[in-house]
Amino acid sequence: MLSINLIINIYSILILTCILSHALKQTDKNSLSSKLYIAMLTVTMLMLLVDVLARFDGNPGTIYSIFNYFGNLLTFMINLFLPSLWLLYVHLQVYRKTNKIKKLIYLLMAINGINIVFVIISQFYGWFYYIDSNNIYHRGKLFWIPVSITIGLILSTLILTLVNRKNIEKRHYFSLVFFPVPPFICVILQVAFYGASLALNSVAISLLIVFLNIQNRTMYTDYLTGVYNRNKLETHMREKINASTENKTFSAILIDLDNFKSINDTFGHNMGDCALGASVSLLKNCLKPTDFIARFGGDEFCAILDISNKVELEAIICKIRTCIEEYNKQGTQPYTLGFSMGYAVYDYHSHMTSEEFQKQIDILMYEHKRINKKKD
Amino acid sequence: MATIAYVELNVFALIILFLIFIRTEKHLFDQKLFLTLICSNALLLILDSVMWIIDGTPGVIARYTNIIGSALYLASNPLPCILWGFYANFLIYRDEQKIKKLLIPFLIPALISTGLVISSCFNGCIFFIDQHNVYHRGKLFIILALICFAYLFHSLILIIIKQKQIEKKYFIPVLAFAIPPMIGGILQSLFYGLSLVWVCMTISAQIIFINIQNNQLYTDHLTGLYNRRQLDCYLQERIRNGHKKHLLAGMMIDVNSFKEINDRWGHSIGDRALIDTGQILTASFGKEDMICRYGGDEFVIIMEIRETSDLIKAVDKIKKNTEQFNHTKTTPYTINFSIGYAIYDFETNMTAEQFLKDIDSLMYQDKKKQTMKA
Repeated sequence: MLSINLIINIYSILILTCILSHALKQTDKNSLSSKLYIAMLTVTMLMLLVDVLARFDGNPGTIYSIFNYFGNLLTFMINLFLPSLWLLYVHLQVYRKTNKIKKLIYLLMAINGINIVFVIISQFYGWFYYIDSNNIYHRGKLFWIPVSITIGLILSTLILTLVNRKNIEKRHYFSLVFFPVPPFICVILQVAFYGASLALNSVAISLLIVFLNIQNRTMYTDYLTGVYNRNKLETHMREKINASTENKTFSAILIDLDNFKSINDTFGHNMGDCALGASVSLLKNCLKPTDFIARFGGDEFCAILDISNKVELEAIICKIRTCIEEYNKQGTQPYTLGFSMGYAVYDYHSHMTSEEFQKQIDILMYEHKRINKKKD
Repeated sequence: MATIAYVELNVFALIILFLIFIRTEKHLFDQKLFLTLICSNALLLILDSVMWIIDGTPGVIARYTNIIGSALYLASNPLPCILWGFYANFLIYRDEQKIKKLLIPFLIPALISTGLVISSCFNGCIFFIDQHNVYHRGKLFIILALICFAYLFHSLILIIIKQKQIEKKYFIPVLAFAIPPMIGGILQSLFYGLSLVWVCMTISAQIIFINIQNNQLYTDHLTGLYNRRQLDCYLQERIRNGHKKHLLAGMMIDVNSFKEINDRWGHSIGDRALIDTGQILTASFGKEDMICRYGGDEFVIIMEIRETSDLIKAVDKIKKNTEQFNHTKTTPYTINFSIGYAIYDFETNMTAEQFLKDIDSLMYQDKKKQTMKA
């Protein structure tokens, strides 16, 4: 039993090592959210190690007693680290402000500190647990206190996520809500079947899910503007084409910034980047939050909307034009924005591929650009 | 008790495989190979669990399930090893046809082992189930193990011999793939009753998966060069850890009249021009130099050099390669660059951003000069 538990724990540690080595290579490893994530990985690995030690029950008078003593001591001391870090991580995802989190850090540090002090005192009085003369571990009378604090921390994290679900990016929401599920299932299974305790091992799975989500997000996001990148556009459009039916298709708008090159050349790259950012927030304001926006090339964006008829699409185009005019009237920036737009509703009967459809709106966009130039 | 624990371990590995499976793109050939590899791994984990559960259970049905399950399990053993061989081959040669040609010679040893396994249901040469319905290895079991090992060994040797043909960033993860299953295999043969090989292979799959994904994070989709994210990261690190032996040099390159190429010939030709540019640059710089696509038609190169003249030499080399390209061109456009370059002065404590701005404005000066000449 001991050896099997050892294998599962080593296995989990290996998987976490694998994640950790990549988390450390990430570009933004110095941001608070990455630091918290890396801390969670390390603490979980540490707990898995300590957990092995804490299972050396029996065989009194041998090395087993020492392992068992320190294993349980450390387990109880660091018990609250993981739920505390998780609470901080979620708090950061929800409020996105580092100054607000400081108070919470101090509070959690105090709770952990008090816990450690009580665990040490408990060595003499056996409040939380005690190890008898046969080197067998027993729960103490006050065992429920650290357990309820752990549950309390996890519950408050879950409530925080659910209450603020609108502030959390949709792409991240699932992994935040799902995080406590695998450990929860494992605890239930453990109670029901008296199997090995796998709660910690299942935390490794939760951490893997969070990691994959973070990676996925960075992989499909344009570094500069925060919208999707071209890579994701290709897959999204292909999916949309496959999902379209006779009655329900989709629309796409290709947007080109008219004088981006000259903004870049006259005012420098920073202004150019700023113009791209402004264009994205303009588009976001005009479109629904569920619509898809991707940066297509240097100064081009592509939006994909759930619109199946041309009238509706033209209304949106009108709206975007008004938005640009308003933005330019404000005159807060030295440059003026201008969009050339090519747009079309995907025709189900045409059976166009994603590439052909992109070409179609590309041509429409260039026609529009020519008209714009003639006007000048 | 051991049964529950092994099944738990297998389920654990299956969950990880499932997570990898739903996250892998399913378009390219190597992605498809990788997905098949994952599926074969999952199949073996499931069959292994079935064997654990059924082993030693009395009854006729249990007996036949055990025989069929064991036969399937053993016959499938070479499968992930073959797929791994294909995957390694594809990473080296990038040639789908070659894999298709390899299919038959690769399958021969596997077919032999399958034949042995089937015959074993009757003569027990590879495995047999005793009257208590407990699985035992047969006398010829070693042949099956050797066949699997030979597949892995062949791939490993191939990877090491042809390492120059594998992209540098793939080499370590590809090599690391073979290690966990081999350790698992050694442990399994030392301690009879352990079952770790396929669980270990899941770790390998995870290593490959995370590394492939990571590589996509750092490369530009179109040109295959590094992207801006990686440039920012790399330059900051170089500036922080700069040492005195080398000079840190940066170069900003802009494709002249790219906008016109795009407007006149359309996007796909524009993209072609960018890919050509990437190839010219790759040919002009060494492996250690960092070439990155910075913006739409702008490229940045960061390199470590001995003396200032190396930088001038590099610029000359680009110009020479560009001329050569335009000379032999089959494309409707010609490629010309405006180039700004400088050596980073560690004493100024310039940030990475300021340095990039510096070479950017040098590039614009060059552009102005060129247009004045024209």
